[in-house]
Amino acid sequence: MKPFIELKNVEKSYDKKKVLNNISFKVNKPGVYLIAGPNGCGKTTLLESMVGLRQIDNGEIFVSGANNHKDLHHHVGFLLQGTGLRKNLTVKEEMQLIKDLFQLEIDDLSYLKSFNLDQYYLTKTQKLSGGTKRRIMLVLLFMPDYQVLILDEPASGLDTQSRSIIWNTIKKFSKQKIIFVSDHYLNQAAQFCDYVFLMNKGEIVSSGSKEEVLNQLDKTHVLNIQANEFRHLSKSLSMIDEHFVTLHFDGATYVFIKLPKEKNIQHVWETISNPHAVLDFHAIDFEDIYFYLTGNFTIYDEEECV
Amino acid sequence: MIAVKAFFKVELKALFREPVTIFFMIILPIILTIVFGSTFGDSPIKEGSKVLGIDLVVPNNIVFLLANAGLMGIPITISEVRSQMALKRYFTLPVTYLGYFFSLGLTFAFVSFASVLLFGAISFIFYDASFWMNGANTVIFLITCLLILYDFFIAGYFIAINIKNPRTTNIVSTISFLAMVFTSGVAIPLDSMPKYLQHAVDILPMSHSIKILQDLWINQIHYHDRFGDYLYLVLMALLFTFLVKWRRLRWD
Repeated sequence: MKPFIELKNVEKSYDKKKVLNNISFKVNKPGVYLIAGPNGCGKTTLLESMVGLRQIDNGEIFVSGANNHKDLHHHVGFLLQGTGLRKNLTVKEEMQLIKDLFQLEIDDLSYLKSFNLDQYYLTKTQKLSGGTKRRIMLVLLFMPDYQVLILDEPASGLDTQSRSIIWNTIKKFSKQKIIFVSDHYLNQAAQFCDYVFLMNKGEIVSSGSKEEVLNQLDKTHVLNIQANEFRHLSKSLSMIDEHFVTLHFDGATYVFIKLPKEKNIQHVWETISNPHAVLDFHAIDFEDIYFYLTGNFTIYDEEECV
Repeated sequence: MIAVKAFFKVELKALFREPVTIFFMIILPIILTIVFGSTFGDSPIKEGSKVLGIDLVVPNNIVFLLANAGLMGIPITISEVRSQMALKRYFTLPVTYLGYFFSLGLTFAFVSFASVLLFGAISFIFYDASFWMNGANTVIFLITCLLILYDFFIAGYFIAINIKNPRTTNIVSTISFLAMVFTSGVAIPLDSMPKYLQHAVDILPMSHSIKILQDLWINQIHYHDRFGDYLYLVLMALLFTFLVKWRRLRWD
């Protein structure tokens, strides 16, 4: 079966700065694919290249088996950062544009009602709040029944409730579609996604299903320890996991440990000589994986630390 | 064609909700018709001539309108659509680059046509304007209008390509338009200007457009006299087409 979207060695530079470096992947199965990474890692450039908004320097992007697809925008929908709505048009008129372009027969009000947005039908978009504008944009994007949707930070800059509504909407409509979503709130986004691509400095540093990404690191928990206390705790940490890994940040040291199945959290607290030096202790999550893969980590060396 | 029609509807609605655009494209040509029509509309253009002042106001207003739509309407609209990120969004929808800008041009052409009908009707009903053109000149008049429309629209598009900032776009397009209005005879009669200025205004397309349309409208065109004006408009169309061809408008 041909992959629906395939990227082969995609590269892109702005002036002399490389923002996409040798990006390759294939996607075939429906689901939500999270493209995550910090600001400036190349997420938006990657997504905009996939939808034809940017010309890539090298490599190829295939959609439905063809590159330079004439009907690309019939197959792939894109939600850009910001809104992109015309301020002096109403929601009704924005819907009409999509209906005209895709020759759709949709009952506007009942469609909007399914998203609890019918009260905005005749409202000019300039009068909508930021969260509502994003929701309207999503609703417009779901109208044409695209096979692939690319959403660039759909919940960025919104309050918790709006973020939650938007993520739930995305999840609800992802059943038969391939949806790429970028976000830099990795853990929240990962809750709603099936697959994860972690990006750093224009490269994909990890990818796979959520379980695959979480399990690629042979560690189960993370301790955040005050940096000046780490030296005193290193011996007791090695008693929990002699191959623990550290990652140093300003004022804190992240310690990645593997807690044996037969041991519980209590075991950690009992083993650590000074529990007050531990700022945080939690099961490993996607942000930890990201720090681990992209940060300045060091494998514990007994001679150096003790 | 589906996309052109869809965006034509959108742009038409958006245009009618811009009070400034409506003022310049509908209200102002009517005001000019009334002011000039009342001032010298009933006076013959030459002693013994049956052609009245109002008969020159109609072609003047057509050029004014097309210049306004092209030099101000097109770049300011593109600039606003771009600043609202809507242009970027449109380029992710099934419409070609050319298709979208064609529909935008079509919208302004349509509103210009509607405006011509309005002030034309006022000129005929209230100021006794006459229709002097024969069949051949009517056809040539329409073709020339299309050429003038193309010249101003592509010049406006050229402004939009080269200036990203909406405020700067606004200033540059307004200055370009007003410079042409004041040196074309629409606002100040060319005959009352110093000789050197009368030659200087030939650098700009508006005076050429007015000379041709006036002569055609009153059915007194001599093509050997107007050859230079036609040549100017054709060369301008070719030059701007060439200039915009190698530089695509960016959506951001």
